Amino acid sequence: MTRPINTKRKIRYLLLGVLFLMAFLINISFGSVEISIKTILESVFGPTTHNNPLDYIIHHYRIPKAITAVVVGAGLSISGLLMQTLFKNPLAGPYVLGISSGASLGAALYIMGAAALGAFLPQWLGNWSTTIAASIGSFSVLFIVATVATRIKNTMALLIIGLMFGSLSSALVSILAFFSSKESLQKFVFWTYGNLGNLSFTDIGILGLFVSIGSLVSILNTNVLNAMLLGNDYAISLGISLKKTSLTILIATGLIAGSITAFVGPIAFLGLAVPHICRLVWNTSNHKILIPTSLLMGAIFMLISDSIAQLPGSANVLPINAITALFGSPIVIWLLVRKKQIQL
Amino acid sequence: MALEFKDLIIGYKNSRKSQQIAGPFDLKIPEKKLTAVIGKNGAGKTTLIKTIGQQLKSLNGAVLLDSQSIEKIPNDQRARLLSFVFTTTLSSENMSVYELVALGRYPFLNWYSKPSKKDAECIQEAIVFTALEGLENTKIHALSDGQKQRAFIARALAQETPYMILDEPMSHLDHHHKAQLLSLMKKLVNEKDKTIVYTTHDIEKAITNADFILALTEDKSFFNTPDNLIKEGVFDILFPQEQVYFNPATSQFLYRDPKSK
Repeated sequence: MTRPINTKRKIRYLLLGVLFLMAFLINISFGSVEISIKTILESVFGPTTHNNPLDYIIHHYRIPKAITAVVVGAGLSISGLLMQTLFKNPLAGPYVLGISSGASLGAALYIMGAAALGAFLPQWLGNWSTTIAASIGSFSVLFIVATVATRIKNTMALLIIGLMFGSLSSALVSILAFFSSKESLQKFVFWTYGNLGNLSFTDIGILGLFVSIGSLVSILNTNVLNAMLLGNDYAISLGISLKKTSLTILIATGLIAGSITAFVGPIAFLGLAVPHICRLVWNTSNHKILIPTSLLMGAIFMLISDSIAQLPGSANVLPINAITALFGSPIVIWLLVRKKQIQL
Repeated sequence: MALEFKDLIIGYKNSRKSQQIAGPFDLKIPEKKLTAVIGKNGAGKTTLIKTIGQQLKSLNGAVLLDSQSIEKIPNDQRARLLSFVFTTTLSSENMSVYELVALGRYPFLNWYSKPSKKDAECIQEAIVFTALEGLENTKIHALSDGQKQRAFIARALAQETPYMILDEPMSHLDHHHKAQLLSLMKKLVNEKDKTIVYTTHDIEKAITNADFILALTEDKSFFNTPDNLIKEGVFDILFPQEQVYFNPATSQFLYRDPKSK
């Protein structure tokens, strides 16, 4: 009985792996200058660098961006999965806790309220300033939510508190926007579009570390997450401490979603949609399958979205935040209409 | 091994006030017997179950397991002594019967451990015992109410605990499935040496099938064998006399005809 399932599992990961490699290569190949797959492979695996401009683009721009897409896509999907399981709510995503709103508020305070906050962020930070401001914002919100979580038994209350923080932050951002100059407002709007292309290898290292820690925590909690699907009464009866588990999941999500928002902006949708796509495609609620497939599927999804955003054959780059939803929503709708039911 | 209630008062409390629902209880649940908890809606049946399961804290006194307060027993140890069937719905019914039953093995797993041969055997045994063979890969949402209830009992059975506590296991079931479930519970007591406590509204079936009955009324609780409870006249005072009365000869509850007033 177990053998065909094992084979099926192997085929599933093989397929995802192949899809992932293809998406990765296509992502590197697309852009203002189209680079053939052959050139990419030669440049990466070839004997020496040929010192041509394409090499430079591949190594210093395209590859870091593709790796960023992988980390961001995988991270957002896994944090969305964690939130949906914790809150037992199919509409939860990585940002229900108000983490992205916190990051937006941090970024807005820095970009649009520079006069007020500039004193705290020294000039030499340069490019990092927005990232740090956004991190401070997202982690402050995370800290508050985690503190509240230790006092509240009801996860539904926590969900609403997260939403309230979101509304509060957006209100403050609107007020800031109202009083800010045209230039800084534009800069802030661009930040909200999301940008995968601005990260150095050091940035990617830091982001990768946070996302890896969060993902590792999720993998270690696979059995706990499955038991959470039984509901709180059963979870307690199986010996699970709800408080400890909620806090662990909150912190893992906060690390992932907080660092991603800080580095690439508030990219939404993906975290909500990818876990549903995996649930529907593999018709399961088992985290042993959902965690690895969400990680891979998220990465693939982000690579494809970014490839589309590059508008092949043109110098323009569309906002990634718009493309993920534009490309993803029809897929989710189609899957739902076909399967006719939604379960966590 | 012993499950006892000592001066136990159950109810709800928050920082401002506490609301007593039932108690004080002072009794020992008989080992390897089937005990039914009865009482009208709101009498505290589910509250009692949740106090045993530590979803609720007792207002006073304690639930004792082996003379130790259940609040002091570590979570993982408690999960190896008590298993439950609740009335709550799952947040996901998109898991298979096998996956559901396998979750009963959670207390025996570490984060890294794959289910062992022993786990697989326990799961298989629970599935066979509850007559769910052939349904292993069926999703929970595709089961009938009777099958679903058996799957939840199989999950509790896979947890391999000496005590099984079931909240309203027979609600939503027709007579055929009620009978099936009652004989399953009796089989668990007789063949697997389980001590079972279950709550029910079907007092007539409890009288004929349970070894002991804990009857909750508004201001008192009674605990005895069904025959002794009949002799004590407990069933006569369970419901308002002017509407429902008990006929000890047939062990039946009868409704008074409003016209005959």
